[in-house]
Amino acid sequence: MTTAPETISALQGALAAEHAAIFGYGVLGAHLAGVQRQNATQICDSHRARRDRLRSYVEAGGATPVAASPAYHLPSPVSSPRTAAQLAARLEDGVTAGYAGLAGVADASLRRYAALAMQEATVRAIRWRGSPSAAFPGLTSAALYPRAEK
Amino acid sequence: MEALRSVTPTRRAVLGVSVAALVTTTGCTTVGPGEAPSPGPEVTLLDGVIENEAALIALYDAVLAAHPGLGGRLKRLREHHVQHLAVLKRHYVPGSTSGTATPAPQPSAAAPRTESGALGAIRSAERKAASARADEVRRVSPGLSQLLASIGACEAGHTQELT
Repeated sequence: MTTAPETISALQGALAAEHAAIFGYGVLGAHLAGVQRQNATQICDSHRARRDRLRSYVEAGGATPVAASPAYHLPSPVSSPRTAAQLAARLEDGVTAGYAGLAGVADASLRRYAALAMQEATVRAIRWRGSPSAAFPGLTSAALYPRAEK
Repeated sequence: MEALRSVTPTRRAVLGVSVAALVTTTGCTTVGPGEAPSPGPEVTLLDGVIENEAALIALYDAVLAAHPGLGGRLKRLREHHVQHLAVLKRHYVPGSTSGTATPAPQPSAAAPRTESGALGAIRSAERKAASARADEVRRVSPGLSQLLASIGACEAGHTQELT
């Protein structure tokens, strides 16, 4: 199977976002209790499942999957259930953005896979945040204006 | 410190793909061999998405007119669809709009009598829309696919917000 470099790059981008989310959930889970903690554990498991799937796609494309970094800079500190939920929401935002590249590759089935992953992550971000997300999750405004004049 | 990485390490890469691919949909250039579908089917599909977004806005309008008390929950969600519509309309390829470039006016949607019924109707419409977007990404060019994937994520989020 020959996979375009752009597709490998997009797969690696999504994989890196999953690695970051798994790391982050590992940190924040310790600050949650009860149902919230169970939710975090389940969600982390589903991120691991997607990570493994992405790895297999990269390997099938003849490349080496990116490894998780030994440490990540967390976008917000965690010291309580509230800040843990805030971090979880931001991790999911990062995952949505990580899959946005994969939603634009040549392989149509990978595009659908990415689109569904973006939906899941956006829903989770809203659940954690308790407030709405943006009109275009995962994309920046620059991506919406391809022909904007300079 | 090299070992420390942001949790969104791929943003730049994502954007690179986005812009390159979105330009493709405007007909300025091509990315990748044999990937760009002929404009016809894509314009037809885009027409359908635009009609769907307009219908969602019409549903919100009907519900808001019948149940003003829901404004706090619904107005911002409605505004997302207005933004979707505006960006989608930018993605017609000039000169290829054999379809209905301007969608037909939406028939006014009917609002269920109760607030919970009205919220349920919107939730159901949002769920269908999100599901349609995830399906459509397989049938459009990569650049438009990213946009539809993002819109679908927003719509999936709306179902969560209305739950």
